[in-house]
Amino acid sequence: MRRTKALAAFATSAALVTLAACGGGDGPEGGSDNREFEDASETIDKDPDRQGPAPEIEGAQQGGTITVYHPDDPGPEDLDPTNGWSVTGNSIQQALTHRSLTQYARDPESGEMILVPDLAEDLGSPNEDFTEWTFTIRDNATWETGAPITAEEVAWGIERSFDSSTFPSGPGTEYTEHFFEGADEYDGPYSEPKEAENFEGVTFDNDARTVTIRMSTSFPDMDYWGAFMAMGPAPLGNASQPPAYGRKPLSNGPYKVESFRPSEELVLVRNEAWVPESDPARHQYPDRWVFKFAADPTQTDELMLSGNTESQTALSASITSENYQDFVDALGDRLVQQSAQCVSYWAPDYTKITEPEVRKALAYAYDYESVWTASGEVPGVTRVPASSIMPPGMSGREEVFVDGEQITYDPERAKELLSEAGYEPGDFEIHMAYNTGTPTTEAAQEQIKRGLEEAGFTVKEYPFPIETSLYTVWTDPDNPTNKKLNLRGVNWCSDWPSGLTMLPSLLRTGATYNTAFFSEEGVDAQFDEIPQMPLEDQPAAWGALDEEILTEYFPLIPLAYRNDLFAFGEKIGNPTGDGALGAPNYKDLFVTE
Amino acid sequence: MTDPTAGVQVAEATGHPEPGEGSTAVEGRSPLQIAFGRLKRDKLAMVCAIVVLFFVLVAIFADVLAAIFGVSLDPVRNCDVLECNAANPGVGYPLTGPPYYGFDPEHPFGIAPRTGADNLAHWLYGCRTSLIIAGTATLIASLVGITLGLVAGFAGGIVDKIISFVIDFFLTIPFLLAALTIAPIVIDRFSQSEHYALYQVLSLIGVLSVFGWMGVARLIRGEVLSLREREFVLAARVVGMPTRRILLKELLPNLVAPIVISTSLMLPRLRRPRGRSGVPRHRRERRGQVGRLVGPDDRQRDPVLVQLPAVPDRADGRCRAARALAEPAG
Repeated sequence: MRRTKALAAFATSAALVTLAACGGGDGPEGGSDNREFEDASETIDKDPDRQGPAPEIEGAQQGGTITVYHPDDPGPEDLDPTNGWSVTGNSIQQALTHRSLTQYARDPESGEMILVPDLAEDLGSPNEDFTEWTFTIRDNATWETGAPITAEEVAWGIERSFDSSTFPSGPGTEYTEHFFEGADEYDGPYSEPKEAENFEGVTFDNDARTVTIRMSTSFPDMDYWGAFMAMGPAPLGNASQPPAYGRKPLSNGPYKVESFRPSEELVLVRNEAWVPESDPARHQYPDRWVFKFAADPTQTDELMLSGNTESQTALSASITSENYQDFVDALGDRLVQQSAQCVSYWAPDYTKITEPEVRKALAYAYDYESVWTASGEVPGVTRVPASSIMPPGMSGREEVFVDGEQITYDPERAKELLSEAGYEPGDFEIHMAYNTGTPTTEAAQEQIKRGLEEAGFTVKEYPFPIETSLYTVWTDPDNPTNKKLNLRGVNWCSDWPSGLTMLPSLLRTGATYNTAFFSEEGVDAQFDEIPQMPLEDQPAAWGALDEEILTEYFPLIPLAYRNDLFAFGEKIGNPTGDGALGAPNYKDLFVTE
Repeated sequence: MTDPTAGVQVAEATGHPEPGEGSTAVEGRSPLQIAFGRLKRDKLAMVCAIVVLFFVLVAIFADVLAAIFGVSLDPVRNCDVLECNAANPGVGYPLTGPPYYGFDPEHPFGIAPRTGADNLAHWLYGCRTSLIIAGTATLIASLVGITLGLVAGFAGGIVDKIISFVIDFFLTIPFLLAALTIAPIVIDRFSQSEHYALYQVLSLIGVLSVFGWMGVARLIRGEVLSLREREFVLAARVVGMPTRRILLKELLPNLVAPIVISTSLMLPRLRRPRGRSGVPRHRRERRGQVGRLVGPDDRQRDPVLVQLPAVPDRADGRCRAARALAEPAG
């Protein structure tokens, strides 16, 4: 799942902040309470028997409005459940407005996430070799109109995910496309309306309330994939016609959409038709949710630190490094570090930067700590140097040192590699896009450019306003700017704890977020083979493939393993994060009096 | 657009020169000479003039001054000058100078967090950027405003009606809204260009000019309406003086007072939107701008920094020296 925000937030150590106000003093005072980068947990437990209503959160109260700031993050471009494949968008919609076959619940004791049923009564029944999954849809779940959700609507919603042409950046382009039967021939109900009549890959029985999905290959992770809102219902026929449906989709969670302005604001209000008994994990505590996208990071920090009435019921999905210590002092436990399996990469265009030496030179030309500091991160806490494609905490993952040891910023080594490839300093021109209009991304780009130039590259920059997500450029093959770029990026989080959700999504030929345009037949073949292996052998196989890809091709440059920090206002109850998605735990938040 | 009341309070402080003083001393001086004579004796006005001159000199000699102090705009490796190690306290803040350490002669105004940029260098070049944009925009807006105001007021009739309509039309467009609407269009059109920075400056000057001339035009038109019925104009007409000459030699000199007032009020007004990141968000330049020196956080940490961008603003805000100049002349 992609990270919308090109460079998210940060944090660190020490109880300093004796405001040595007017520039005197002998330096900041040292302190203890060193926070460090926490690895994400390796597995997510399952509880197929959990039923609604969700257990009450201790001390929870009804009412109030929660405002959520997403600094520097433009948020989702539309709200169509089939098209959602970003941490920001999916975490909001899946928790509050759009239900699917399964979902995650946070265990209040351990803080771990557990996979539990949602619209399905359990976590689905596979056949012996995991090629056919049957889900029984519960009978008391409803739409915001009060109409019951039928098996047919769930099947229709799933069938929509076959349409890769209509939803080019949706998760169906990966999981539906490669695991569901018929996906190779059938391009979905909007692109091939005639074929839709005869399509039998997803079938339903309204009387028995069952939905059956047939797989083209063994797919044991269907229950995890079922937690995506793309595996949920959609109103039949024209009512869910894209792209109109993406502007105001019909909700079936505890909240419904009141208004949505892309890159600006999403307002959700209580959905009175939602039946708590039908939902094993969601709550409906606040009356309203206001999400502010592309917020100014410094202003958001200032608001959150002010402790005024507005900030007490607000939460921020990131903070900047200069204020980390203030946040620790002012918020204490309400500053939550959320580990998730997330990685930032540089993606050199595999068709334009053909020499592996140049790609390695790029890895040495990225001034890791400087760029993180410029973008408001604190090296060592929210960002640590990366080596393998798969993040720490993923089973089977091992460190991969393509050049013998951890790559760090080393302009001299970069120049050596460039000359090995036959380039004099200044010969090789890098074309890259970046966001302007916010001090963090501009400062980071300044450091990136300086690092590249010191390493002997020349840099041509293509600025885009922060309201334009760079992914809309990077993933659009027809974009005129994108055609000129030879260095892109991607930030990726696992969709569930398996290499299957990292490597193929990023490196399969033609994959949406394969922004490097990497394509090797041998690797593609392995992407298809590994899911066929016995379950217990798969993690090691993904780990081995990770190493093989990096050492032989080095198509992606892992820049950082990332964690997030969330700042909760003092009147927000149960300030916690969602470890499955790497987002605030929207399902369980409430406003205290 | 111009707020004629904005500078009035200052007038009280400047003190009115004695009415008879100048005229008894010397006779036969032009109004301008009389005005300068009074201005010279006004201590507050002279102090203000010196402050303005100071910033003009800073702007002109920015590179010389930067060389003298040994500072530059060139990007530095921020981790060389900032604390990047999360294990150490003060992470994200400079290793020398405020807020945690004493004065650092190499960076007299300190170092900016995050970028590691030198504050003094940005302040010096920022003065230049601000003055160039505000100066050019004021010049263009004044020229357009004066010309249209003169023509409308003097010609009257259908010409006046048309020009007045255009003035009113532009006045109905909300400046901020228009500026914010134009910004993304410009960025979209020119962001891939080689001279993006230049286009940013030009478009800002353009926006400020296009929405800045109406106040002057209205003011001048009103003045001309009353002046053109005065005896000396009538006399000039009777003698058969060409219109161009009446406009330039008879009317214009008598309009010096309102022109000086309105332009001197316009200059700081146009400077401000740039100074404080308020207006077009995408239009801000990446380097060399006073207002961007200091973020809200830095203000809390080091109150001294707050004053840096504010000084030039206050200087030309308070020192509307033209007030003193214009008043006696009128």
